[in-house]
Amino acid sequence: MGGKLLAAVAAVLFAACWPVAYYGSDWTVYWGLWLLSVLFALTITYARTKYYWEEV
Amino acid sequence: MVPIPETTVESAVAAYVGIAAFLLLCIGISVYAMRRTRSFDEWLVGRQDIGPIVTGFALVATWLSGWAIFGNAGLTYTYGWSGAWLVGMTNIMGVSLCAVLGYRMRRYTALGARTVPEVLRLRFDSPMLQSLAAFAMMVLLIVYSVGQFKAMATVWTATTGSPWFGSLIAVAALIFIYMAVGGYAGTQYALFVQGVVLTIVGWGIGIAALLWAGPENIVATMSSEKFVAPGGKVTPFSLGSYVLPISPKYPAYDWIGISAVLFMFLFMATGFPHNISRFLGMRRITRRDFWILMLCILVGSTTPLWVGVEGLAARTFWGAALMSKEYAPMYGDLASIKIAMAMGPWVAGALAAGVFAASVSTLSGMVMVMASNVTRDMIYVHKPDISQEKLLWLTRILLLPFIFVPLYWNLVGAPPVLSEFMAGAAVGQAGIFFFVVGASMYWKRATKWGAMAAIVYGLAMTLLHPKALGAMVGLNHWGIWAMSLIFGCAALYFGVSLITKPLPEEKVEKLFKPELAVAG
Repeated sequence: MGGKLLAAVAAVLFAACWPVAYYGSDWTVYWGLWLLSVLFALTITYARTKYYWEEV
Repeated sequence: MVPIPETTVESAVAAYVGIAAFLLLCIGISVYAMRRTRSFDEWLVGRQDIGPIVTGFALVATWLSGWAIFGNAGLTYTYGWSGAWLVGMTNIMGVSLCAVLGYRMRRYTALGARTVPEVLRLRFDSPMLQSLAAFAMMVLLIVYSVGQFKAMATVWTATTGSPWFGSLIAVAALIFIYMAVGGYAGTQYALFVQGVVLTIVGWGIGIAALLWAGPENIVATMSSEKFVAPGGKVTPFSLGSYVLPISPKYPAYDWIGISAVLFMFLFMATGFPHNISRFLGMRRITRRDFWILMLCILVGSTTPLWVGVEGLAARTFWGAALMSKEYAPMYGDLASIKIAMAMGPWVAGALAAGVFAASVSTLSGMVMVMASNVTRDMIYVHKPDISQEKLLWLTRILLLPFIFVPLYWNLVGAPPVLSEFMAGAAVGQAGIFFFVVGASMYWKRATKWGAMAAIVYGLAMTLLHPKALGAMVGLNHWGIWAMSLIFGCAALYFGVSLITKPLPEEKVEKLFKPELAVAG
C-alpha cells in the first residue's frame, strides 16, 4: 500500500510540472521544476529502499 | 558593459594545462585498470566490485555529456527561457528513475550478461532481439556522439585559437587509447573522476555567473531581447517566455513540444544504454548505499541548470553578438567558454577540463557500448566458440570506426545548436529503450515481439525527425514527432506483447524471483 501511494505521489509531482510551467515565469519555473524533480527523486528512492528493496 | 573576451596566450596556456592534467589522470586510471584486467569479461564489466559513489558519479558523467556542461549555455543564450526546456530542468526525474530501475541490471550480470543487448537476450531468450537491439543502439549512439566532438572542438578553438578539427583528431586519439587499454573498469573509474570534475566546474562557474550578472538583470534582459537566428537575422519573437513560436521544428514552439520534452527527460536516462550499463559492474549494495548513490546523482544532475544560467548571463552581458556570422559555426555554444574566459584564464582552463571530462566520458561510454555491440551481441552470440582473446582484440580494433564516424560528421557538417541536435537522437533512445530495457526488467508479460516492434518503429520514426526525412512525409512539428515516437513505441511494446505468447513461466520466474523483494 505504502509503495503504491508513493508511486502515486511521484506521478503527481511529475504532473505538477505543467501547472508550474504554465502559471509561473522566469526563475519560478526554472528552479520550481528543479525542486519538483528533487522531490520526485527522493520519493521514488524512499519507495525503492523501503517497499521494493531487493538483494540483487 | 563587459567586453567579449578574445583568445590570449594566458587562456591558451590555461586550457592546455587544464586539459593535459585531466587527460593524464584519466590515462593513468586506464593503465591501472588494464593491469588488473584478466579476461574479456572483466574488460567488459570489471569485477562487479564498484561502489555507490563511483557508480553515482560515473552515471552523472555518462548522463551529462557535452550537452549539459556546454551545450546548455548555448540553448539559454540562443533561445532565452524557452531554451531551458532542453537544458533539462526536470532531468533529475529521469536520471533518478534510471537508478531506481537500473539497479536490477545486476541480476542479469549474475546470470552472465555483459552488455545491455545481452540482458535482452536473457530476458527474452532471443539472440535475434539481442542483435537487433545492438544495431539500434549503434545507429542512435553514433548520432549522439557527434555532439560530444563539437563540444570539445569548440572549447579548444575558443581558448587556444587553433583550428577546431585539430583538437577533434587529438581527442579521438585519446579516447581510443584509454578505451583500448582500460575497458569497463578503466572507463568506470575515469568516469567517476570526470563526473566530479564537471560537477565542480559547472556549479562553480554557474553560481559565479548568476551573482555577476544579477538575477534581476537576467530577467530584465530576457524580457527585452528578441530571438536572433544563427547568422544574425533578428526576429520579432521575445525571449521572455517559456514558449517561443519561431518554428514548429523547435521543441518549445508550443505546449505539445514542451510536453514531449518533459516525457523525453523522464524516459531518456533509462533509455540511454551507456547510462544503464553503469550498473552492470556495480557490487551488491545496502539501502544506505543506495541513498548515497542518489545523493551523488542529485548533486551532479543539478549541474545542467547552472550551465543554463551561464547562457542567460552571457546574453545579459553581450546581447546577441555571438549569433553573428563572425562566430560561425559555434554561435551561442560559445556562451559558456566566453563567460569562463571573462572570469579569468584559469577559470577558462577549468571549464576546458570540465567540457573534456563531460564529452570524453560520454563518448567513451558510448564507444564502449557500440564496439561491444558488434563483438559480443552480433559475433559472439552467433559464434560462441570464438576465443576470448580474439574478441577482446576485435573490440579494441572496432573502437576506431566508432570514433571515426562522428569525427568525420563534424568535419563535414557540424550542427549549429548542439543540444537541439542531440535531442533528436535522445528521443529515439528514450522511446525505444525505456520500454524495451527498463520496463522489460519489471513487466513479466513483455514479449520479444513487442520489444522488436518498438525497436523497428522507433528507428523508423527517428529517421522521420522534422529536420531529417520528416519533411518528406509532412512531419514538420517537433512535438508531434517526439510524442508519436515515444508513445508509438509504448503502444507497440505493450500492445504487441499482449497479443503474442510470452516465455514459459519457468523461464521467466528465475528473472523475477519474488523472494528477492524484501519489505522494509
